[in-house]
Amino acid sequence: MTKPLLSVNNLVVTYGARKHAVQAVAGVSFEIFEGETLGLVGESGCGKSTTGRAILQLEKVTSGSVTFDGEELTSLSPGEMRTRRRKLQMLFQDPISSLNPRRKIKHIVAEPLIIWKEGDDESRSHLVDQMLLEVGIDPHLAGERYPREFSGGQCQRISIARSLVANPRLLVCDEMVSALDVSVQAQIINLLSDLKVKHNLTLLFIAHDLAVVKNVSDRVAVMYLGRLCELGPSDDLYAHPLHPYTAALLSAAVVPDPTVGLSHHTLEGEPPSPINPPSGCRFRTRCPKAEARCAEEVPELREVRPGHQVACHFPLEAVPVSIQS
Amino acid sequence: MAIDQSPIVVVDHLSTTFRTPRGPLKAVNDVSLTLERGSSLGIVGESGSGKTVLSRSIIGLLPTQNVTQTGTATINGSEIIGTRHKDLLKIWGSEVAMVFQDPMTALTPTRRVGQQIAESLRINLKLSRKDANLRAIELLRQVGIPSPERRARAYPNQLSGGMRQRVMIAIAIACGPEFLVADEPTTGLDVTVQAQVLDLITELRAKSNLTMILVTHDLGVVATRTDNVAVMYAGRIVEQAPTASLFARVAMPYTKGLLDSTPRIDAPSHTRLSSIEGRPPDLVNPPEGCAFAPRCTYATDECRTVRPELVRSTLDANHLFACHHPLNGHQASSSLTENK
Repeated sequence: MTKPLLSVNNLVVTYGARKHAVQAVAGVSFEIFEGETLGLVGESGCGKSTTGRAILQLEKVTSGSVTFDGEELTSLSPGEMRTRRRKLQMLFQDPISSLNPRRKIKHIVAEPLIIWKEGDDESRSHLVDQMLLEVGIDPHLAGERYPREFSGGQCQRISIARSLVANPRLLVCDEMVSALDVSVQAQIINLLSDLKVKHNLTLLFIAHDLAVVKNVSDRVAVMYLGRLCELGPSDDLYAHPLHPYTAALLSAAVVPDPTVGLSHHTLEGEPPSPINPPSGCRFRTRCPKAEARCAEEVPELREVRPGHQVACHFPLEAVPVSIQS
Repeated sequence: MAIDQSPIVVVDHLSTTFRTPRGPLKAVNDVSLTLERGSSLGIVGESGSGKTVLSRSIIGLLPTQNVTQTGTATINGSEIIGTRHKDLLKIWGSEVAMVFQDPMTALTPTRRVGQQIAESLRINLKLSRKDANLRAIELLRQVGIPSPERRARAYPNQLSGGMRQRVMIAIAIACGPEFLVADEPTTGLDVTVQAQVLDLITELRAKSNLTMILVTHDLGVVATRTDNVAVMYAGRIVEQAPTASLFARVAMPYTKGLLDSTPRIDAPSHTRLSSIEGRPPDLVNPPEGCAFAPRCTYATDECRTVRPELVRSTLDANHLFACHHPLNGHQASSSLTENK
């Protein structure tokens, strides 16, 4: 982890125009280092998926910059961006609908190679077979079949094979295990972490499940209503959250162990509408620690502990707080 | 009136089979269970394990076409299996209520939520329109909806997912049922909202001694919100125990597999998850013997040929399991013919 492979700087994505404008992403900055997995968590509507899509320029970026491997992506023409996408791949939540139902598995996986005119038929089919084997799908049994003949977990494996066949450097995984049963989810998480090492991948892992994100990530960023609240090393962030929102999220999460018990620090209400976000700190309307300053001044992300940043005027004390609280 | 001590729900050798183009599919296979008044049972399992079909079978909420059922299920002594829809209508709402996973499709999109709550009050409790509307507003207040007078006039699409689920709960409790079936009530909700909705259900249960079946795939929800847990696999209950006992001392390798493959928030990051290889069996052609045997690391020839019955453990008479090679020192004390 030496230099950042991806830097996102003050990214803003706006949907709609003038009085109907919604800032889905309202100034987000982070870096992902080579070989690292950055987790991005938040509740529905916080802008985490939009952030992921904006990195691949699948959403129009209103302002801010996205630099991948030293190159600015936001100023590229669609044609130029297309050639860069080979190095940036995305995995989606619904693996069945993200595969073309009318094409055979071996064609689906070979398509990136055909688009990039790589090798001849023979070398492509060899590569496809090898890739399918790596994700645990038997190419001789599966190659001639269609996506509908496979379960969700198997389709997710096929999606992974397709995304990796052209040797990408960055994978953006958007809720890629959320729809899977826990035993299958564990298989896919393990597969992903093996392939990550083998293919030297860098990952942005977007999900709402705190336990899944902690398991796969080196660092975690927490998002609320279009902004980052906190960013830090996974274990440190989960053990000693600095932002009141992170602490609330963690206390709402349940552990499959009846002896741990329930926390009684659950948040009241629901996130406000991003059409008309609160002034100052966007979390202040639900924050137990909010004061007058929070309404006036937007808290910037600042480093409080080594590698651990928080956007809060009154961060929680850095004393060990057990998640049982 | 003396307090009724008899169990509220008794299910005996219940099987539910669907007719499919590929042949009969046994979604629920010979399930027996008993629910004491005021208790809560969590039913967990993966997709297709039969947990939703079982909970719906118990309250008679299944289509009649292409479904055959054997065995019995009684609620407050009245038989549900084989009872006509017309007669079940008398129990639904007043004695039994259900909260579904997706409140958007469970609510009528073209009617105001207040009217939808009032509807069951007018039918079941024969309240006048005016009284029913007032009571509906009171119920919305009870389930924690701010400014209930205004919200009662909202349509479902104008409410958030959490609010809609609260409305569903208001409809469920409107006529004071004794038995609530909640099928994945918080799946699809954010964690902070999930905690709020589960807190609400817990609070309402305590207030009116409500018996509950909570169907979920989330072991974390079960661990914290239920007294007893039944684990389902391929249409059968494979382990059933008081919640604390199940998590402290798992008997069935499948349950252990589920627990070990669940990522935990209190485990260090990059903890290797142990996954269960393979997939659940096809219920049209179920394997002989134990349905989990093809995926089980402890499986022997006995497992592949002889189906294990649900038996009591010698360690805890309330801990039941269906396994030839139980873990953690569990041993079968006697075969369980009567599940009482």
